[in-house]
Amino acid sequence: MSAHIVPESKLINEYAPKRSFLSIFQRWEWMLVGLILVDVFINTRLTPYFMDARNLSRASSDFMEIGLMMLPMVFIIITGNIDLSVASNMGMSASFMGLLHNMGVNIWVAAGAALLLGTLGGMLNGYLISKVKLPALVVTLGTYAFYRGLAYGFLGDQAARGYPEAFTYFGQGKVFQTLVPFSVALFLFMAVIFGLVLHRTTFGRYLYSIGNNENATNYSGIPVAKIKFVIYMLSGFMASLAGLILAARFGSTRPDNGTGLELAVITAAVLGGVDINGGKGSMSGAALSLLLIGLMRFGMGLKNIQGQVQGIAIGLLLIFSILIPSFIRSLSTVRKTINWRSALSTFIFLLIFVLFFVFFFWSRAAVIASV
Amino acid sequence: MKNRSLFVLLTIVVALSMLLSACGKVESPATEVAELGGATEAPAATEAPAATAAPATAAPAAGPMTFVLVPKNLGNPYFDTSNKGAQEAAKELGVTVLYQGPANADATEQIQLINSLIAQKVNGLAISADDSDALVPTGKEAMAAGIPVVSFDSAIGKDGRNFHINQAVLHDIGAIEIKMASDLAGPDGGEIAILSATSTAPNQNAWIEVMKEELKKPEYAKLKLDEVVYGDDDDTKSYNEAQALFTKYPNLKVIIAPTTVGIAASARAVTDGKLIGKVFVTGLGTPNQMREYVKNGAAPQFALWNPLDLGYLSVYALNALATGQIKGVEGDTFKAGRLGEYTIKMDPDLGLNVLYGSPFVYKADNIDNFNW
Amino acid sequence: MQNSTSATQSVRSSLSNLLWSLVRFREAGISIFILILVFVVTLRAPSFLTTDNFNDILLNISILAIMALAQTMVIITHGIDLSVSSMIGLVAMMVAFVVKQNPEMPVIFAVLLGMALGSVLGSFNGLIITRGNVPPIIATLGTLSIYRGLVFFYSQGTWINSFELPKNFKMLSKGTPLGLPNMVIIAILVAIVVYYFLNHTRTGRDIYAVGTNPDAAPFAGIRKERIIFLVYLLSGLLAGLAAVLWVSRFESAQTNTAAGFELQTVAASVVGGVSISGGVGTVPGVLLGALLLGIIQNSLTLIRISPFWQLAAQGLLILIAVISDKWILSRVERTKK
Repeated sequence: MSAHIVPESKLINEYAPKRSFLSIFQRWEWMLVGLILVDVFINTRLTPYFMDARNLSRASSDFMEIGLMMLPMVFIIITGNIDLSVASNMGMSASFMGLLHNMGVNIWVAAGAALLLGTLGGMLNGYLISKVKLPALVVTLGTYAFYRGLAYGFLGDQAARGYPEAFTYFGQGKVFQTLVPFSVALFLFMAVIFGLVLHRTTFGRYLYSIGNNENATNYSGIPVAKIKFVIYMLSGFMASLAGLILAARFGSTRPDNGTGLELAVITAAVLGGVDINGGKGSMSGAALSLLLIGLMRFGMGLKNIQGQVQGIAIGLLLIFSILIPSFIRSLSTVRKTINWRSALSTFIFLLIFVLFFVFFFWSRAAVIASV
Repeated sequence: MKNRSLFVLLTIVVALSMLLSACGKVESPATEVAELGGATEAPAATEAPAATAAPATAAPAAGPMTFVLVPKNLGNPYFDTSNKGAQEAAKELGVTVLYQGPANADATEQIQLINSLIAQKVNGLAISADDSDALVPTGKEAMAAGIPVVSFDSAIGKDGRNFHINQAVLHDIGAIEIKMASDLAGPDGGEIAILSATSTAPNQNAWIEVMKEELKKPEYAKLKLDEVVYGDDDDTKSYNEAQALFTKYPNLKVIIAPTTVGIAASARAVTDGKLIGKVFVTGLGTPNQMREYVKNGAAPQFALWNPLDLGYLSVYALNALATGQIKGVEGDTFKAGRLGEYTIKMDPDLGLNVLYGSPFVYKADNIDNFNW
Repeated sequence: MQNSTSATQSVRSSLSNLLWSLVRFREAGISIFILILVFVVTLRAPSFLTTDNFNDILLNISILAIMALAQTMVIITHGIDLSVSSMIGLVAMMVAFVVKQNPEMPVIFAVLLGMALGSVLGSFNGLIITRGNVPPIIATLGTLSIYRGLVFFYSQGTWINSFELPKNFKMLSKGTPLGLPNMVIIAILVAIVVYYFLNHTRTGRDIYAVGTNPDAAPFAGIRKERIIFLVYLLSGLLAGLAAVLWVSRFESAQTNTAAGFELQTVAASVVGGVSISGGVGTVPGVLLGALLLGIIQNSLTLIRISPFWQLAAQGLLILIAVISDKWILSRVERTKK
């Protein structure tokens, strides 16, 4: 049978995917930019304190530790892994530095030792995950407890305090005469470096490759184990760096500093478009999502919305950021005829949720009255 | 690839434009005030870098002032009561007092909250610190922004606030807890343990230091301190720690819990573990929480001061600072409504502070007179 | 024909024998680890091996055991439920307030209310994951924040304290009509039901099937979406039960009740032999895992390790348990060849 031979050029033109101008706007980063603009607009209307350079400057330093830890987390999640131990590593390094400082060691030596310890912590994670081949979730769950425990072991109920001003500058000082905190400048600098590595080097490409299909990557001769080891080591280093910045910001260190931050780091990365199953994501997306979360929290704080309640907005944002694109995608594919059964079950669920919230608000009214 | 640089560019443009527009606003606080339709906050007089314990330089307010009471964490009945007192003072003074705090006794959350309050240019902050050192930079920032800061119950480090509202002399609080423990242990003494709040809590740590000093005295020679454990002001954790103490030290006689969450949890653990009469609990507690245990014998006596008055006093202190009545230096005197006059004193450890009173011991014969 | 069927049959049976022995082997491994730990600890602290102490341990792990069983079912389907701590916190606060306002209400109503509320929260998770195609870790990470925020939104920061709860409610967990505290009995009942469900019902086997090979499952007639939805619903239901027990035992509901608990449930499951990639996990294993965690916590206190080093020791022991488990597994793999 002879196929109807179509001139090659015609094939390419006819069957090339239709890239409309609008499809560029379907990228994740655009959604984030849009959300940022919406958030800025709403907040500016709601409170006069939002668009204030000094306030923004002060608020931004609250998020830089999360930002620093988020950068290597993007690498790790792109390869299809995770690191739950970052916040504990941060606490451990900061506490170690505090301990050394209390013992009289020079602050810069202590800081260097802390960075070393944090990197070692990352290396332990890397070793267990890449060499011993234990699941990342499990290993970092163990080190999450272990490193935090070491933090408590180092400092106990003591605080490390009295850091010299040259050191606290890193957490509290501003760049030259501007309002930009040093920690923000550091984060931006690091973000650019990590971004270049991710998007412009072979190493970065390997990360995507591992995330898409680790076995195939391995068989094509790429040193997967070594790469995984390196990214966890990076994660440890950045976590300890974040610990130093936090210690400088507070001017003191306690072993419980930063407890629970790992979830905020992961949320920021995922909201930034980094696919939790690996293989997709961009540094610019992650940076934008950090900006979005920071602005949202700052804005909500100005309206005196309590920190935990702010979490409702962030959680909804996280879920909808995945839900809505997936919903839109399912609409554009096969148009199904209305499935009565699924419509009925959807209706029943809606009813149940409505009942739940009715109960919620009704019993809550009694709560408010009794207080 | 082109698209990505586009995003980076866009982000920078967005960020820059925000900064630029923000800069514009800051230059004209006058228009800002006009926009709000009458000042609700005193414009910051200077932005001078914070000197140590700089007196708050605030121009007299043009309208009703807003102060904020910031407890260590929300939900604790002890702080809820201090808020009641604060609201009472607010009514008398004609100011608004907001009650805002972190959900957990966590310094990071408290700092974020205070940063937000500074941004809202409130007229005064009364804070019970989760961490005396970590709060210092934030306290300095607030004072530099022209916001008077007092700490109450749990002090911020010396440089981070105008002065501290001290509930009772440090020494008295520690001493009375040891005395109550000794009374409960009986003439033969015995083993005691301390169940505190968080390991970073400044006030509890100070009291524990005093207690350890007191134990060196000859009259307490028969008391032996087994251990200090931390319940983090979390009911579950305190309960578990108390249980662990029973197992670890079978001859334990008394648990001292210098925190209202810890004492309630310990008393419950004693009751659940059927150890009433064998192990006693004392420390600092609130009457409503402890009534059951005073009556069933788990915690026959405990002490506290009235947090209601503490909150009341804090608001009057803030008002005095914010309206310029006092500058916040040693020797300043101000009137605090029904509580009378108070003078700021200087203490080598505590810095500038105002002393409220002394602890009060609650027992079975007086516990029913109180309802908070 | 006949020979090959019997040959395949014998291969299949010997394979399944090996699989079962493997599974049993893992549980044996954990049991041995526990026995060694008990031995070492008793040497240092004789008060460990007393009925009172064991009573304490059982009480402490009852709630963990219930939630670890729930988490296990979720993990078997290659998912994870990070929101369990917030579900417990929210249901605890709501039930506590309702009980406070209605002290005359029979306790069983409180339990049913808790389970109902928990089921709603769990089904929300299930819906997002199945209908919305949101990966479980993300969905539950999101609901972790949402539900925790709702706790504060509901209570406005106030707590429920012991003196506000009626006596009969408090006795729910502590009463000992049958010798053991009620809470322990409830935990045992839950374990039996879950065991029966997983091993002796069609739906239970389907859960394993979905986790082992999610792509093949629909071809075997398994309604994958239904199964996945079900495990998250069950996770919520058990969280609701756990919440009521929590409030009853600790006689309080605070804004951050159960915060951080989700990681303990994952740790108990993992230590108990549940594979994080799904398809593997047994009820006895998980119970042993919870028991091990409880013993670790209890023993560290008893042998006078400073409270500041206890957390480190716990983390280290988890790592050791997981590493040695993997090591044993690799040795077994090698002997199979």
